[in-house]
Amino acid sequence: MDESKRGLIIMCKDKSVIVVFDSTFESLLSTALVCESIGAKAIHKDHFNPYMIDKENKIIQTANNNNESYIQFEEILKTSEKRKGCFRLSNYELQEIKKLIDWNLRYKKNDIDKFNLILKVIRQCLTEGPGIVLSQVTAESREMYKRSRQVGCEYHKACGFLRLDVVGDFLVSAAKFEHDVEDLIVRFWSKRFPEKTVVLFSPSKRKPCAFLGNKGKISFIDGEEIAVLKAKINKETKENPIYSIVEKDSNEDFEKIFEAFYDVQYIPARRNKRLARRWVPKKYSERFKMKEGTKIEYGIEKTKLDSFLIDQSSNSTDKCEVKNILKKPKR
Amino acid sequence: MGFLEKLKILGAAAKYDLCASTASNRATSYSKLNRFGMGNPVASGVCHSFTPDGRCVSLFRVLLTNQCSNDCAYCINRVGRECLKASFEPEELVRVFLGLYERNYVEGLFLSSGIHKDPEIAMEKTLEVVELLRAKHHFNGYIHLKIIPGACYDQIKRACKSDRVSINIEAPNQSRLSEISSTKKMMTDILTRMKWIQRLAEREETYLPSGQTTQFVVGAAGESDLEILERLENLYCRMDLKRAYFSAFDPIPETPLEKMKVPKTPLIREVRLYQADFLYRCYDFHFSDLKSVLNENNMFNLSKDVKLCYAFQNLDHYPIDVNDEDTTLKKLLKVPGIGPTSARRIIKAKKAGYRFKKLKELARIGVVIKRATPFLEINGRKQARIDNYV
Repeated sequence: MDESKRGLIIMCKDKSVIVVFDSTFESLLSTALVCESIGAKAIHKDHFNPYMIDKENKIIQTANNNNESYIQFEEILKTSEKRKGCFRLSNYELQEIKKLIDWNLRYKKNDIDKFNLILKVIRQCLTEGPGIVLSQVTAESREMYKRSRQVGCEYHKACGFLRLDVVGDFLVSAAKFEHDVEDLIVRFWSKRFPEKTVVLFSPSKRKPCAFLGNKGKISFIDGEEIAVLKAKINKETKENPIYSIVEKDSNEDFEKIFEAFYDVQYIPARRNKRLARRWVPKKYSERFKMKEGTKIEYGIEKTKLDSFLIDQSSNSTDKCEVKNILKKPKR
Repeated sequence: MGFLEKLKILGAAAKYDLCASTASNRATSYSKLNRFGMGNPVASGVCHSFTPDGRCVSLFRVLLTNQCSNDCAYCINRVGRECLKASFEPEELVRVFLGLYERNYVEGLFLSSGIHKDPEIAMEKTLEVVELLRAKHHFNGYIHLKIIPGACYDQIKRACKSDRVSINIEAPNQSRLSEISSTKKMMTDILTRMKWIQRLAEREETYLPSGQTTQFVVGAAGESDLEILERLENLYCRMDLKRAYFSAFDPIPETPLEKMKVPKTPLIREVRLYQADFLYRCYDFHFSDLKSVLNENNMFNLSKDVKLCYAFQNLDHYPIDVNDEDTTLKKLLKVPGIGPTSARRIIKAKKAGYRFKKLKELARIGVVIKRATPFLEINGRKQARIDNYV
């Protein structure tokens, strides 16, 4: 079996067991099973420190050869005979729960607590049945659904709201994300434009990085490679400054075309300020062209989109190097 | 005339046509087959921009020309109405649309046209745009094409290569249609074409993955809601209609209906019709159920929503016990405040052996308690009615 699918099991002197898991789906499921069957405690590998166990209970065995963690978990979930007390999951339920866990694994990049929640929900699935989780009866399952909606929402908003700039064979964009969704977004674009290379710059707090997509294949770069990529894009701009399907038009011209189109789509007789306020991100409501000279009021609810779309003024370092990739905000 | 000027005229002329971007199942085959060209019909999930009326601008919605020989009394583009006239060349429109699509300003194309002289010539021009996109530029994205009333069979067959087509029915029957247009014939120009579309889509799997739609102008010809419901029933059952759009009549300056001072239709009437349409499509209501809700003037009650009216008229069917084994999805969907999603969740939880004890538990899974409480029984408790005491 692949090493990555194994869990590290630590037996302490007092016969308590700690299972160290990583962020993979297999590892999570294995850990949940081991914890359920032998009453072990679980801890994420990023949080595990050998010295965290006191001298009385110092580690006597660190091994990843416990057969419990090697069992294909999906098989166990499907076959109740193998493990008494565990509920049988149908293929549909398994897929639904897997999808839920996948979205939750992408929840907030640096949040380690998410793993505890996922493990709790898997345990509920096994002990009380998948229906309890899928119908969101328990507080934990509701929280997981809420989080998966947040992640999904960020992904969908990015697909709908991010503008791309055409620079030669590159389609370039930049945005800050709260959750790990960059690869999904790039995959979405690269499937939509298979003949182009999609570049998504993500200036995260730790270090800037970029996701590249070409014909559905996704790659990730950071460090010095970022500068190389930016130079390549800038060179493309200089050599072929306004290359696109519309050869004589530039990206800015399309902004004007869209503005003109947008302005005539409004029907004044159907003005519905409340509905419009529900859709438009708060940050851009000021720039949102309300007719009849009235500005739209700020919404009460916060929108995640506020924090993720890059404002031109907020990113001065990238601005000079990749001027053309900085997005004008959406309405 | 410059492109921007033309866009302003033809974009404004198309704004009364209703449409929504719809992901089509062509998307599934896309990833396997198309490795070149651009675009896919997968919806992004969030619309791109919103106008102050709350509607999204996700499709590039334009007319190819606003020159029209029809005399529809409500229409902005009718013959004889004084306004600036403009036309796009197919190549020009394709060029700009692809530029906008590449930059993610729009998610697809919605193309319609005025009928200048001959419907077949007008249809041919719009088809030229679709064929340029599909064949020359290998555009695989979403295209919604308006069928011109009077287009020939061969043209409709070619139009079926787009994702969705629609032909505006405008009024529920011929007598109402003739009140607002002397040039359009309900049976020959509209219903026959809709039947052709339905047969073509049935025969060829790849045609029209998002089906066909239509649009009513509500209130222009003085029709009742019953007439609209009867026509809808006919269209859903016989024409395999995907959905219908309703546009409340709003008199446009310098049109005959404005001169005749036909009153503006209240927007709430449009809302009630949409509610009825959704109840039929998503809530398992029959048209007989919907017709039973109409008042003596054959109109929906504008002050109450359609589902609530139905519940009040059939109070003997309620309250419904959520935990009862006989409570099916269909029964739950008839309860105000319970939608398809929350109804499915209740059934799923019941299957898992869960019993609901408090209303709060229902609220957590998405039931609107305020509306649902009078019609629900939970754990042997139900809201008392004045009838119990009188």
